[in-house]
Amino acid sequence: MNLAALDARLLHAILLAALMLTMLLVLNVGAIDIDLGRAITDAWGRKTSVESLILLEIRLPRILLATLVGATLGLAGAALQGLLRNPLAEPGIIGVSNGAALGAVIVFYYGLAGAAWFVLPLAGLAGALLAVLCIFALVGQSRSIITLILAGVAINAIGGALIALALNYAASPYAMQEIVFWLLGSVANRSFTEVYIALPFMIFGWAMMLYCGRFLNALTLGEETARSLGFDVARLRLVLILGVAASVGAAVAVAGNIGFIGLVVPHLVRPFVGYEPRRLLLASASVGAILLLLADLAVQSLSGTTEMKLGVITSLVGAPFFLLLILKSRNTLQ
Amino acid sequence: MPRFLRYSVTILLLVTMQAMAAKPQRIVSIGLCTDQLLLMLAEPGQIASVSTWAKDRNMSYMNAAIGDIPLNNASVEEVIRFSPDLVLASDYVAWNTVRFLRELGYRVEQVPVPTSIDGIYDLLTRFGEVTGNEQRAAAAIEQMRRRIDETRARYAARPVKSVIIYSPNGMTVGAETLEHDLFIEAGYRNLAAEMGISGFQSISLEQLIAADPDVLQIDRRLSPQASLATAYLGHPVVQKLLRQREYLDIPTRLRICAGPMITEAIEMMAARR
Amino acid sequence: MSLLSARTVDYRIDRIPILDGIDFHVETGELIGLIGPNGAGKSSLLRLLTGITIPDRGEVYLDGEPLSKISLQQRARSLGYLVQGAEAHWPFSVEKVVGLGRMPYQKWWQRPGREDQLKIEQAMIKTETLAYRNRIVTTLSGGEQTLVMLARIFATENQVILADEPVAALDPYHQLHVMEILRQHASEQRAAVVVLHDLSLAARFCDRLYLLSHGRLDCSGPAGEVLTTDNIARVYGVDSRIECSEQGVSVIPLTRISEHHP
Repeated sequence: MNLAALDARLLHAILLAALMLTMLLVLNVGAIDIDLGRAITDAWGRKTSVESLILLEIRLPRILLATLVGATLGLAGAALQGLLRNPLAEPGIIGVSNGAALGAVIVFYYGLAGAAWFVLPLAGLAGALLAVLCIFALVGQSRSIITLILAGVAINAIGGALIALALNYAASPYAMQEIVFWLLGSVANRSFTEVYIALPFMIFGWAMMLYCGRFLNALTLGEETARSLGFDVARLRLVLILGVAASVGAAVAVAGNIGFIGLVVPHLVRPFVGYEPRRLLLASASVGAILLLLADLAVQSLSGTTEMKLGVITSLVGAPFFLLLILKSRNTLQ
Repeated sequence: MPRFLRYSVTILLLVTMQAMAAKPQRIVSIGLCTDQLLLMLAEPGQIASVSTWAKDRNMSYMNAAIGDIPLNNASVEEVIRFSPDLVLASDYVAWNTVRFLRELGYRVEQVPVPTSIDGIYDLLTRFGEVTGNEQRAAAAIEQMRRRIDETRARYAARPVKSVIIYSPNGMTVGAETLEHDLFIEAGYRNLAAEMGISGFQSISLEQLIAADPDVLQIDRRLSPQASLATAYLGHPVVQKLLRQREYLDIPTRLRICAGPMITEAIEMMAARR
Repeated sequence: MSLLSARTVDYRIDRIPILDGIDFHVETGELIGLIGPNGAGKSSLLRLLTGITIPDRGEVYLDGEPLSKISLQQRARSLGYLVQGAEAHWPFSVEKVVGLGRMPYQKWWQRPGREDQLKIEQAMIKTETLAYRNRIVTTLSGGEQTLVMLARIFATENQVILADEPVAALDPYHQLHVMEILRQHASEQRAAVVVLHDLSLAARFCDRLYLLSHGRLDCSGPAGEVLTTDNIARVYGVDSRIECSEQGVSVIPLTRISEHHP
């Protein structure tokens, strides 16, 4: 089914507007009811009040982080699905997110993160990159969907086990129970610090992925044809992987592993961009951000005294979706 | 034997047995708080072992009084090596060990965790009965009452301030807890209780800010080991609060266990008003 | 100077020799056929000629320049590669697939312009695929898809088209159609190199043939010289009958030669 491919600019305008609206909506929700209007006027007039403090220091960074992480995950999912020409590819399923979490956990709990601002997200990048390289080593030349999923299962399992191991030996008594954060993700109680350290890596990663947009279009016809169309396949593949690793690495380092956004979003968006991998990239970023903001909205509304993790919501929605995809492509799975 | 004599001997025997049973000679404590009570109120000859927690300078009020007393890690093998005639543990502490020891036939007394100052008095009384140190326990209770009254009188002129506790994972402490009683005795209003919280509960940063406390009780010298639970200390909002408001930094060892040392905590808090 | 040539190229995969000392050239206006049994190395030679793979020894030259010195983008503009069993992964519209052929002329931020649109339409007209410009390419038949892929190549306006068994799975109508298109393309001051299994088609449409066997060049030249019963028997291991008529040459395989293992 190929819905009338909306004009590119119109689509992006609609998505951007939707994103702004969603941000405003979620800004209004929090543990305390505050008068958003007063908060904004106070903040604008540089008057410190409870409302402006909550708005600027607590809600704003949280919203921004949710937006950035959601955009990253949507974009990375679209990029991976384009590169691997596999509808089930996404950073969580193929183990990239767990790899990033492992890097972050090792650096955070063993006192290395304080050395410089970039150490934590860099560790996330390194872990993510390692995971991707392992995936490619396991998958080899195979185009099979099943092989990729199995390789992802393996890398995820190893990653999860190593995360648990690292947390077990960490000095802090809280470390072990914090595994829930790393495996399920959260944007609660994050400040602008997290935004600042993740943003450069994310921007770098997005740039790399967007640069490969045309390459992904050419890949529709296969790697050999893409090469004959003038694309240095090996180099561009590496650029794209680096982009995924950098952005997802930073995202996971500050927000934990939030799964399924990268899987669901491209599938939702694809019919609206005429299935074109290049156009899918930016659109997936916007929709990913919107979805994660809505998920955070759900988290804040549904949390009791214990904070519900974002990954719970995304899994509740994403896992059935994943199942549906598998059932739908059962004939094409080799 | 004349009936009178028979009765006297029986009574004498019973009293002696009671006296002997009432004074355990090899007491093992397997938790921090029972360690404190033991070290404060028991005769040194009675103590067979205290837990390794007792040696921690941050956590243990009586850490200087350990001397040669052997330490244990609350494991069954270690405990039975001391052939204890009494094992002490707080409720909820090492209960697997407690259960095992009971199955093996050892006498284990579990002491409750008080949720009020009156509860501490009850605890001390019970402790005195169980370990045969009734007089010392009574004396300790008397001293506590006196010190609390003195503190109240000394700082009565100062204004009542509002306070809230914020600890790792956003934990705060509400009404019907020992901490709450300490605040009241020290002349504070516990904002968590006023928020309707009873017992221990986690609150969000937003709730913390909205509470707008005069004083914040927060442990600034949290262990340097990194974790997300303690990451809030680095959050700009918390740092702002710390800069702008008073904060209470009562040493952990004064407030983590229920016992006579809480009077020092109350004094410190009252002095900061 | 040949349009595209290879001089004594060797090619190995993991030390297994695939091609050994091949000399090849194609001139402007020629349609060359690469024939030979399965595993003879035809597809490998084709890939060397497009620059997708690099020879272990020897060199491929485009207009006298070694391929290795020519940029990927320039190669993309000059050499068009039609892979075996070409198909699109995503369900693009036909027009979009053809549009992919304009990529060697666009920078990474650019979108197709007026000129690109013109070339795309011309390409579709040439391959008679304009009628399905809005159809989804994955819903087309094999023959129609091959024509669309050819249209993509025409959109790039390559000098040389290199096609790997373009007609293998097609019905006779589409087989003839595709070969006619390639023939036409070659005669317009360009060239084409095609890997074929169908010897009759090869004989009918190609100016010259290269007969490969076990990675070596067995013989080359006009169809009449290469397609002899002796050559076919030696290389393919079949007895055949060759019929010439006005419409062209037909090669009819008859029986297998039992002692021969090609």
